[in-house]
This record gives sequence, structure tokens and C-alpha cells, in this order.
Amino acid sequence: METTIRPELEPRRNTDSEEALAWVPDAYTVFCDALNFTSWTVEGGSLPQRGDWSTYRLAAKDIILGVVTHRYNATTRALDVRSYFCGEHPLFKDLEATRALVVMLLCQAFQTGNSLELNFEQGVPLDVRTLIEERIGKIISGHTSVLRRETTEPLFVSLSGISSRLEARIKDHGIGVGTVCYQIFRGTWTALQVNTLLDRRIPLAWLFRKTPHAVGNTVLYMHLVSHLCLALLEEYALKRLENRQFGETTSRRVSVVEGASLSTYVAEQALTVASDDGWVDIPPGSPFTLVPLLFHATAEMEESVRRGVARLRRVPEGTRGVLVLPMDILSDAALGTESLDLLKSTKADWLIVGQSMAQLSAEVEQKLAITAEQIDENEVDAANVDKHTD
Amino acid sequence: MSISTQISSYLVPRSLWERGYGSTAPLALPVRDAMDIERRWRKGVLIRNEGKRYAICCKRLQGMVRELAIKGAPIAHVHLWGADEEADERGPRSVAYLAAMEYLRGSYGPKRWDGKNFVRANLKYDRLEAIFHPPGERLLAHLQLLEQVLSEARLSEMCGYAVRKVDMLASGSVITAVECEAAIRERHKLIAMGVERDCGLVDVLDLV
Repeated sequence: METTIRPELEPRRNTDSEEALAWVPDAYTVFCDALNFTSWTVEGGSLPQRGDWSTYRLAAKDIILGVVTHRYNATTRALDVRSYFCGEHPLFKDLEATRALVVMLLCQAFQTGNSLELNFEQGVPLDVRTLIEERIGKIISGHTSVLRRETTEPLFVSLSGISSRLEARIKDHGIGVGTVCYQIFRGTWTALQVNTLLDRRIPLAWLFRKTPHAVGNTVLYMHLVSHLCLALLEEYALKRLENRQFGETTSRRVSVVEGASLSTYVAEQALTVASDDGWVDIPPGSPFTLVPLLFHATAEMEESVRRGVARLRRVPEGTRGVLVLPMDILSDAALGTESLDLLKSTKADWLIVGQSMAQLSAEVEQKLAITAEQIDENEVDAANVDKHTD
Repeated sequence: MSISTQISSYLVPRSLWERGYGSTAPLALPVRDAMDIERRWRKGVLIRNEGKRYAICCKRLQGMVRELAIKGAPIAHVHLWGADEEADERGPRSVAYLAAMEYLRGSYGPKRWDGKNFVRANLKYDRLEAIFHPPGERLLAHLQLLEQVLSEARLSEMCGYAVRKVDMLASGSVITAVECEAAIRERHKLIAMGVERDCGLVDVLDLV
């Protein structure tokens, strides 16, 4: 982005008695300086460290919706925001750009200092205050510059869109909801996966506080990893059922049935798959549950399919069960064909997702590694480096 | 119809362990790699992705044992730890076994002779909750540890503490101290049978 500094714009100086304490340069100057004097250029250079001022741009395709310059303040453990620009656009809902910028800043604050404190040096902007009022019903004075955790945590939870039931369940496990929200925004885990794990009685502490060690605590680790693979498998199946087409922004919407005893979903439109790798025919509004299958060996596939079909019969009345299988079933021509024939003969709904067992395990390992880096506060302090860039 | 873990514990005779069966390779192959990783880990040598390699070895091992069972290999004994929602009439469930192991790993210190006195040792060098135990010395060492656990005068108290404190049960699974104690006894019985028949042991975790 090319920008020229307008020399006529002088940094704004406070004229009141706080001048010595609260001298803050004009936001526009901060933003221009950040762009013109950054150590990072198109030719290369170094990225700003967490204590340095960094300028982030929020854009959707060719529309710039916001620009913020911020840094982590090691003394206050808050994220200082020096310049903040946000614009509305008729393409998006009211305060959508503000929502995205606040999420970005809160995630940054959480990642750099495990805190959710924001210090807007020029006062909390009006749109941010409006968003807070709209989301959590709290009125913030125009003279306020620091947003404390008491305000930002409920805001963060509200922006993440997790249900109040899920929030209560997370709190029951003694896990900070902010931590879960951060990992959801980061894309490590989804609200759906967290919900699934809770349904399967997996302690969230293993995911967000201390994961059992693969070597030192193998049986618990394998127990956790198996359930995580299953959660991923279900997520992939739902994506497949939603059937979002390339270039489209909407898909067949599948939502969770709140309060059901096991993870149950419902879609407003009919969900249909009729191909070599799946047969699903779920009418609109019909609740369904996923019955995922994992294999230890290819020789076990047929037996697993039989067990899966038996499990379908135990699905509660009024709910349809969809058998979900990893791609491994297609890898062994002879055994796979027998298993597929068996599936087809049962007339049940079934679906093969495009991930193999090895891919699911590798993804789980990576997600666990990403989560673990945010668990240890000292780790966050010592090296604020995103080693798993998206 | 919730999904929970079921554990099948296979006692594999030494001959199968070391020589394989049909086209299935000997279990001793992945076990050797896994044991090397364990040895390095216990010495504090932390190599990148070592945990991941170890998990791959364990998964491979589980797959091989399941393959042996399907092919009809002469496996000495299979013990099934039932899933969470199954009634415990058939014996302690897998959740009780997992909770017992989590408690022992985190809180138990057996009294051991250090040359002068009996002192409380930690379990750093004990393969308490490993999912495999090769035949011979390793399985015998595991048996001795379980015997020591069972000889504790405060065993019932320990199990009571376990059902109240372990993370495993923080999410709604309910077990009693009696079931927890029964899980340790059942495990001891299984290991003793393995030692007696010169077998190795592999636990295969299934989600049912």
C-alpha cells in the first residue's frame, strides 16, 4: 500500500494538564510512520517483534475495512493500540468490521501475553464501545482507554459465538473460556469439536491445560488422540454434507440440536449424497447423528463396518444415524470392496471422508502441538513466535 | 448411544511376538523402536517429534495385534475392558482402568530399598500405563509393581482418592472406589497370566 505523509498534519498534543503524561501522536501519523519506517519491506527484512509496533490491515477482497497499529506492553501485559481506523461498508452487517478488528486485537493480546487487556491510547473508539454495549450490555465511557479482562472476556466469548450451554460446560471443567475462544478463533479447534469431546466425556484439561505425554502416559494419550481423531472425522463429514461449492459463500446449513443427549444435528435443507463414496438421504429438518468408525488395520475393516451397522440400530428413535468412515476403506481393493458391498447392502446412510487414518492422526498431533504452545505462560513470555503459521 | 473407549488386552505368546504369523511381521520390530524412544525419553534426551514417532509405533503395534486376532493366530488370552456405558457386571470398565492408571502415575510412590532404607520412589522407570509389555523381564517388572500396589494397606483409600481426584473422571464418568480397585486387581491377574504363559501384552483401544 503506498502512502504519503501529509506534512501539514502535526501530531495532536493534549492541551490539558495531562500533556506530559498522555502525549500521543496522531493516529494517522502513527499509521503512516508504521508503513514508511517498518523493518519489513517487499524486498525482505525482519518482521516486527511483539514489543515493536505492528500495523495490521483487515481487508475482504479489495475492500479495506480497518487498520490498527499495536504492540505488546511487557510492563502492563496489555496490548497497546496506538492507531485504530475502522470503516463500515454496505456489503457487510453493521459493526462487522469492528467485530473482526476487536477479535484480531483480543487474539493478539491473548497470544502475546495471555491477557485480554486492551489499551487504546487515544481512548476506546466509539464503534468498539457500541459493539461492547450491543454484545454484553455494558456501557463504556468515552474517557476510558483501558479495557480490562472483566469486559473483554465476556465480549470475546460473545464474539466467538459459542452457546451459553457450551460456555457453562467449559467452565465446569475449570478451563478459561477465553482460552477455548482463542483456540476456536485461531482455527485449532472448533466449537463443534469441543462440544463433541465434552459429549464423549473427555476432560478439557487434557486439551487446554496439560496433555498426557505420548511416551510417559501412553494409554491416556492414545485414549485422547482416538477421540480427537473421531471429532475431526465428524467435522469432515459435516463439511461434506454441507457441500459448500467452490466460490460460494453459503452452503447447506447444518446446526447442532441443543440439549440432545448425544451430538445430534439438523439441516434446513435436504442432505443428499449419492456416489461411490457415500449414500446419504436425510430429509429437511430430520435430526441425525454421526457414527464414525476408526480402524487399526485394513484387515479389520469389514468387522468394523459390521460393528458400525450394529451401532446404527442403537441410535435413538426419531434420529437417523450416518456411518462415517475414513478414506482407508478405499485403499485396499479386495477388503475395501467387500466392506463397501456390505455397506450398500445395509441400506443405511454412510459417507467416506477424504482423510485417511494417518492424516487424521497427523492433524491431531499438529493441533495438540499448537494448543500446547499457548498452555504454558512462560513459553508465551519467552518466545512469542507463531511456529505454526497458517 | 454415546461413544466411549473399550480396551482389549491381548496376551501374545513369545513365539508370535518374536517371529510373527503368516504375513504379519513380528511385534518385536515396532516394539524395539518404541523401547529405544522410551529409553531416550527417560534419560531426558528430548528429540523433536519423538512423541509422535512413539505414538506411530504404538498404533502400528495395535494394528498388528488386531490383524493377528482376525487371522486366527493362537493368541493366549483376550481380556475386554468394557465401554463406559456398559454395566460393570462383566468386570471393571475401561474408564476404571484408565482412572486407576492415571492416579498411580500421578500420585503413587512405591517403597523401595535404596541400600540403606526403604524410601518412596517415583515411577519414572516403571512402564505403568504403557500399552504394550514385551514378554520376559519387562512383564515381570510390571507384575511386581502391581503386586506392590495391591499389598498397600491403604489401597481402598487410594482408590477412593483416585475416583475423586483424577482428570479422567472430571467430565462426568462415574466409577466407584470398588470398581477402581477391581480394575487394578484385574490387571494384576492378567499380567500374572502373561508371565505364567510367557506372553507379551498389548492393549488395543477401540471407540465403540
